[in-house]
Amino acid sequence: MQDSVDTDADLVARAGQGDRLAASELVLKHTDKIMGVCFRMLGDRASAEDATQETFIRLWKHASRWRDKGAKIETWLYRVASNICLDRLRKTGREAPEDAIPEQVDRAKPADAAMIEDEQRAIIENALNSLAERQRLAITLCHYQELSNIEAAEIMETTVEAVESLLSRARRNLRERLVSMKTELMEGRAS
Amino acid sequence: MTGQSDQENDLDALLNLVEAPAASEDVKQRILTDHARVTLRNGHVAERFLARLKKRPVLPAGLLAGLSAIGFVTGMASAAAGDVYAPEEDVWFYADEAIDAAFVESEEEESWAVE
Repeated sequence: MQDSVDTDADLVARAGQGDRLAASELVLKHTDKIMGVCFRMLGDRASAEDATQETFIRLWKHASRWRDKGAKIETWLYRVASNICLDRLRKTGREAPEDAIPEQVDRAKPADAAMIEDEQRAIIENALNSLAERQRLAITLCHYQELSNIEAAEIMETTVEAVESLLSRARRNLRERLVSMKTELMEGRAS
Repeated sequence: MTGQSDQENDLDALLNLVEAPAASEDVKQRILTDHARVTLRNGHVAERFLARLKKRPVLPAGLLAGLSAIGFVTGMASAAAGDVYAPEEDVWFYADEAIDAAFVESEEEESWAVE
């Protein structure tokens, strides 16, 4: 982990001096993770890409003044991305459009199976989108990004207990929303 | 994940159905273009400032002198604008006079004051 901190800090310092290779390396390393958070928070690809781009603009602006105090660049990026997403959700209203087209992940599957999976994804995305913003962020960071509760607390600028509480409420809400659909979804997966 | 109830495992399985798309090449290029633009601008700002300092080494001293002069003039102006003492402009000035007069009038009627 220490190596990762040193490498990232070094890359940021070089990127701040205008080193395009260092910038490219940072982009390759972190863009997909940040995109993942933004997509799960905002619910559509275009907004997620805009938020990802904005996150990196802030990194470039701070890069020349970055001081390596042991803070992980990744944690900083997650925090900035989370705040950008929360700001956008508050400005635009947090509900994803009902007719949002689910992302097509595997185009090689037969049409029926793909349709069922798309439908399942849309249902789960709607359930996720119906969560309170910070509950959704906690699920995104801990479940999808596989961060620890400690890391999530640092990113969300709150306590570990608060993250645990958010996760617990989020999972309870999701279970309540999905329980009625469970049979249908499992049948869809089996077929 | 060990020790989790079936219900929890089912929920995890459902959540895992939703995959986030990877960032497109287009957005990565946009991010790198932003990097070039931002670092170029930062460089330009620093270079312009340094170049200006080199061209006009007395600029900071001149700026400081100018600000000092403005401060001095403002101080003088505000000092000269001090209020002249004018108690007759005070609302209580006339009220005080009226109260004093009322005391004198009432005391004149006292038995010890009548000659």
